[in-house]
Amino acid sequence: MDQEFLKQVEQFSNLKTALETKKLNAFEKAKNKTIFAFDGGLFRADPQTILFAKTHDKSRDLILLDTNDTPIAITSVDQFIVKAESCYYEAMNEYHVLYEQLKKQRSVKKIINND
Amino acid sequence: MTNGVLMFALNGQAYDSDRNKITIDYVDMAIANAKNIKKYMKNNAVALVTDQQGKQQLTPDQTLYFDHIIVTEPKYHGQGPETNQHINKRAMKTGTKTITVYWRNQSRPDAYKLSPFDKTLLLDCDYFVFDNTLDQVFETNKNILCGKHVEEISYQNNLIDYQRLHHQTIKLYWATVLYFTKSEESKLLFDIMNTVKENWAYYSKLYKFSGSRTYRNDFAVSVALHVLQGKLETTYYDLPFKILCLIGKNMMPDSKKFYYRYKSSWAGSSWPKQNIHVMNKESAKAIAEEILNG
Repeated sequence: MDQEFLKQVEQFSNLKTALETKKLNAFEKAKNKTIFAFDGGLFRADPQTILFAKTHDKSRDLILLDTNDTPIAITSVDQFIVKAESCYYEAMNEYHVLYEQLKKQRSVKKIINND
Repeated sequence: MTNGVLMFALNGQAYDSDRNKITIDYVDMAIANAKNIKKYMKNNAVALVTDQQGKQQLTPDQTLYFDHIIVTEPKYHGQGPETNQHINKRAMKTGTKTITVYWRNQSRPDAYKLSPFDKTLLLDCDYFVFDNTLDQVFETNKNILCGKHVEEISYQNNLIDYQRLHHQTIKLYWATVLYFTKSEESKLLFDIMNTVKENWAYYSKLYKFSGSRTYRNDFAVSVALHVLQGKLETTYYDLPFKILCLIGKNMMPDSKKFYYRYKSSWAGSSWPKQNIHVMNKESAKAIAEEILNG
């Protein structure tokens, strides 16, 4: 087998591993940042939760299951949406910035040193 | 209502394979962590549980990072090898070396009675705080939340052992991050932990972790939470935040990058700064120094 080719594959693989590892860790950071407390429960500010809160029938009480599967009665839906959206945008903006930076980091050295 | 973070720091001795003595300075880690907690968190009152030696190690400036310093002398009553300080040891990788660490972790179940706070976030001092995500737990009406979701930051290891005590038994909780309030429910949790500690041989057979002679708070809290859940498996006490950790065999020279075993050599990546459990003792020391000098 062509040794030079194998060396190139190994280098590419190392670069991809370093890149993907950083991406995964940045994603975990973003996911942790989307968790917020409201009315005594803990919720994840994901698009599904935000959309459901926004579109639910206002004549009904809004009961949501929190991350521990505890049903929580949301006392102020508007405040809930504000808090959820704020968490979501903050986390995703930060993740997006980091993701864009990664596009420019095309060597293992650059990734490690965050150049 | 008082809120705060509680850390235990009892310096330990470790030996490398050549029997060279290494001091694991948990007090230094706690000081660094307290500095970061003050910087990043809103609920930033910090209590340190240490022994007389640990207290004497603190300089007047460092004392300012702590709102409470609680001096305790752990009692090793020696019921079984697991609660004997000379036998309670664990071998762990630290970079390229393997060290044997004598664990002084047996006083952790006393956290409930030692905590000066109504709402307490109990952290390992090698779980370094770099953001404010954990502030959210203080705004809940939950009495107990314990670390459940764990990921190793190199993604090279299958952490099935981190999910369950044994593949046939209950799910594993991580006492690294444990939130509790002063309540009957929390008191019961710590009482059960103490019972598990004092009857380690029995519970280790019952829950199939008899391979572990060393007392582990993770195991004790897992058993206690299993009992509290009515011996069912629920998500009631699961902390939703993922605990990211650097395992002993990988290295973190500073808080910005890390190196990990990749195939037969080393690879590396930079680290998007966030809370991290640094299990590699040399790396924990390096990060503590960086924080303290920063």
